[in-house]
Amino acid sequence: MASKLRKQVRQALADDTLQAALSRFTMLTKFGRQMGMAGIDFEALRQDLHERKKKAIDDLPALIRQFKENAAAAGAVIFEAENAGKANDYITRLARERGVKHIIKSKSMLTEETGLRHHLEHLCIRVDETDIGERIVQLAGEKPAHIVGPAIHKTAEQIASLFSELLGEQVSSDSQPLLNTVRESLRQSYLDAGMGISGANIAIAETGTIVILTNEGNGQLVTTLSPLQVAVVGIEKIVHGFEDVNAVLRLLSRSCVGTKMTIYTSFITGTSRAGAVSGMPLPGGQGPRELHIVLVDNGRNRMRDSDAFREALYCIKCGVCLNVCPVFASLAGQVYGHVYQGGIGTILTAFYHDRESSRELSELCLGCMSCKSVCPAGIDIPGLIRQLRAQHVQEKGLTAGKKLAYGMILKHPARLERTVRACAKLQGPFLDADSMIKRLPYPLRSLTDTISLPGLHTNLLRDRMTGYTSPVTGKAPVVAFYSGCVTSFAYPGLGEDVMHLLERYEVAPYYPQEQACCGAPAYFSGDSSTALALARHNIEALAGQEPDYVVTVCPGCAIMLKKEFLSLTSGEPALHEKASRLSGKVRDLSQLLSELGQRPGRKAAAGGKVTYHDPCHLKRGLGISAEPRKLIEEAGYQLVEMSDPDACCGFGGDALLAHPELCGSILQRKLASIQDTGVDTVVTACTACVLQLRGGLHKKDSPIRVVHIAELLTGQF
Amino acid sequence: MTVDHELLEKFKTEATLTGAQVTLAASVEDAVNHVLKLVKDKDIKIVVKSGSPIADRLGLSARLAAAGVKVTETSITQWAAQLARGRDVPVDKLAELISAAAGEQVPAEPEAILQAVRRILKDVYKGAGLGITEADFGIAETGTLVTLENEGNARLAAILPKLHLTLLDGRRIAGSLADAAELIKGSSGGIPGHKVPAFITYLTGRNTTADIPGAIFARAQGPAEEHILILIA
Repeated sequence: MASKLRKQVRQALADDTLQAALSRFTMLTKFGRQMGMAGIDFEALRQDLHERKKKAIDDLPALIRQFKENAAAAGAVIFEAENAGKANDYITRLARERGVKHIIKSKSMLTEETGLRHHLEHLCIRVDETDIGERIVQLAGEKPAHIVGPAIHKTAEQIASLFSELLGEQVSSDSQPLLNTVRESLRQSYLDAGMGISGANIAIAETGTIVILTNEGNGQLVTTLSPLQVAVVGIEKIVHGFEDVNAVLRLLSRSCVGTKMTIYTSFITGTSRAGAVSGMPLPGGQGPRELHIVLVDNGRNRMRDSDAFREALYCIKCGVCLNVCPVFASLAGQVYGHVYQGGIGTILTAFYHDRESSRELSELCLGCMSCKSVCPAGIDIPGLIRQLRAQHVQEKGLTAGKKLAYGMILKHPARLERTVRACAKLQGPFLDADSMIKRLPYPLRSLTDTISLPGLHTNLLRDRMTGYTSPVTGKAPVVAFYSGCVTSFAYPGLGEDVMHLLERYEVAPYYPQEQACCGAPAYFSGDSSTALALARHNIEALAGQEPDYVVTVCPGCAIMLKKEFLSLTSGEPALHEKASRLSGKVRDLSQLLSELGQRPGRKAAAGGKVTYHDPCHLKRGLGISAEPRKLIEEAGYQLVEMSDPDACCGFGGDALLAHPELCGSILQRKLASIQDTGVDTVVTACTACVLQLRGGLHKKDSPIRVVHIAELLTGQF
Repeated sequence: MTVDHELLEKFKTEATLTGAQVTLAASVEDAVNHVLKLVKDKDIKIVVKSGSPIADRLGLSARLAAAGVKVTETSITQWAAQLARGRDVPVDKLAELISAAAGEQVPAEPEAILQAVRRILKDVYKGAGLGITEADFGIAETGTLVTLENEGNARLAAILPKLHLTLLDGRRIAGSLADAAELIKGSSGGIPGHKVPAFITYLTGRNTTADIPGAIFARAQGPAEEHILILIA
């Protein structure tokens, strides 16, 4: 039975209006980001912001005390709410005590989180959202689609019809008149309302100041015109001083919209004051005469107490992680169900809302690391998602299917091999002339919905490598080849190419026969025990002949060997020591070949135009993108870049099984950019990407060839 | 203090990129003429302004009045002084004047007067064609205008009228966000308990929205145009 989430995913993918809006949105934000990053040292600025946010969260209890003292001294009233209910009750009571019937509100994700608006509306208090996007989703009765752009999924016609209904007159859907109507309809609200509610982007402990950013100007109007003001502030927003605010300002708007600064940045400290008239002092100014600051915990301290998840509190809610997320680009934010979208939203949902639904949401993440590479606060979002999955597995155990696949098969290398050999024998009736499987029968059909699968081999790579069990003596450096499952079982010929290529480069390659699966599928599904068992096995298998390098052709494997084995073995000092020795030896093939430099014996230019797809784990995981390009060009090929060469191909762990349609839609975007180059060969440097791209193109009967860089380079000799 | 031409140039470039219309005035007369031309070109009949040493130096209110433009002060003290035509009037007399302006009886008590003036001024802001405010300083790095105040009138004069003009002293331009923070920390705003003024506003360019499909549109909820006049005399 398809889950509710699965149904929503399918609906979103089938919604042409939504898809059109998303493709506009993706284009706009991509352009914005290029603008925003121009002329700055992003890595240095995000390092600075990360450290400042870290310090603020570390010092949080003291900062809260300091903030309260200074804000109170400036005339604000502070209420600390440990959960959403208490925050809502406080604000509702205040509104009732003052006889407030009408409230204006600027956009605040925290009040979405607490459900404040609905709480007030239930008590027949009118609440007008003033951010135009938020106003639109309010009228539509929907949840925001995006942290920063709540209504990115709406068309002008849909918006016009919402306002036509509200105003009881026909509203034009031409953009400019529509905007005028929206603006004028809000204007009177500001002037009439008895209370203003805002959030805060930042709060300053040293001065008791709240900082509010808006581009539309609604923040200015909400926080000034009404004499009774409420600011709902998450405790994680508090920083020490103005330099910390600057660190946020330097990256917030640049990240999400691409401008250097948000248009209005408002620092509000306490209540407003005016001078005297006719020698008589006045009791207040033209801004707030009462400012209530509601400091909300609602799961934040629990997150702070967790070593693993503490860094999620560094989030400045810029939304750039959504702008670059391939899953968001296919679905928008509503499918995330609660308030916060995307990878970070999945983490926040687990702590602020609903732990159970976060389990399912975590399956949407493909682990492409796009979010991690752009996060201005330096949050390892995919890493946190993996930890969340691991926690869920610890609490609830693995699903039956995964228990079988990982615990019973993957964990035991010999059993895995037997299973592959058995499948290879059974697959015969489904293979086509290209040795590909275009369609599997039920219940495996969904595996071949968007790609053709490669046929498995009975003559596995290990069988073919019996001549390479140890390195040739006297040659250096000694290079162990770690092939990974896809190569071993589906592309053993590619593995042979790698050995020949290494021989051409005159190193001493060998194939450690005892190597097993790197454990990535289990590890990223949260099955740490299987992953640790495989780490142990591989660390021993790859240490045997004391290689100088361990070379891989799948960057997913490389990351396991190089990085994740270290964290998996952290509890066992002796094994950890060995893991760290292994880590230093791991090289991606193109990286190793580049380090070795050009070797003699190469044919003259092989020629031809090719395009190159950056594997996620190679570019963002290992920082390698120039090396393969250089090798391709040195081999005599002309490289034609596709648009977004580093966009994910859609081959991503759990999502492949849980949401094949989603992975399919991401794949189709990739295939379209490959096809747009007009070349007949796409090169990549990851066997999983090869499987996905080859399968996708075969399924469409496309003549475009997909080759791993090892295959391409072998062809030059 | 002298004008740092490098910072000034950088500020002008950045502010222009954000969509503001920046003018440098080399003399008081140039500055006045620029404002007079602006109100004439845009057919502005009503101006609201917040307290501004530059405007005082230019004699701007008088020059605008002479050109037939109605100028209303927005700080309550100055608004009351304007209402009393600059005379020192007792509270009772002021309350009468305010009552007349409000069209209702306003008692000569601080609370009642404050509430009445807040109400009256809301309409004044809304009906104005141009708001004139003065920034305390600019930030060259980002083309940002920084305004410090305690009352809130400068914020309203900057956002509610149809157009906004910021006056800026060409000698008062900070290089970076970090420099701006230092300047702010040194200005307490003079209210007991406040370590900084009640309101600090960073204005960077023209208000926009991307929430209406099609493009990024100017004039989301604030003024249609942002003008900056920098006096370097």
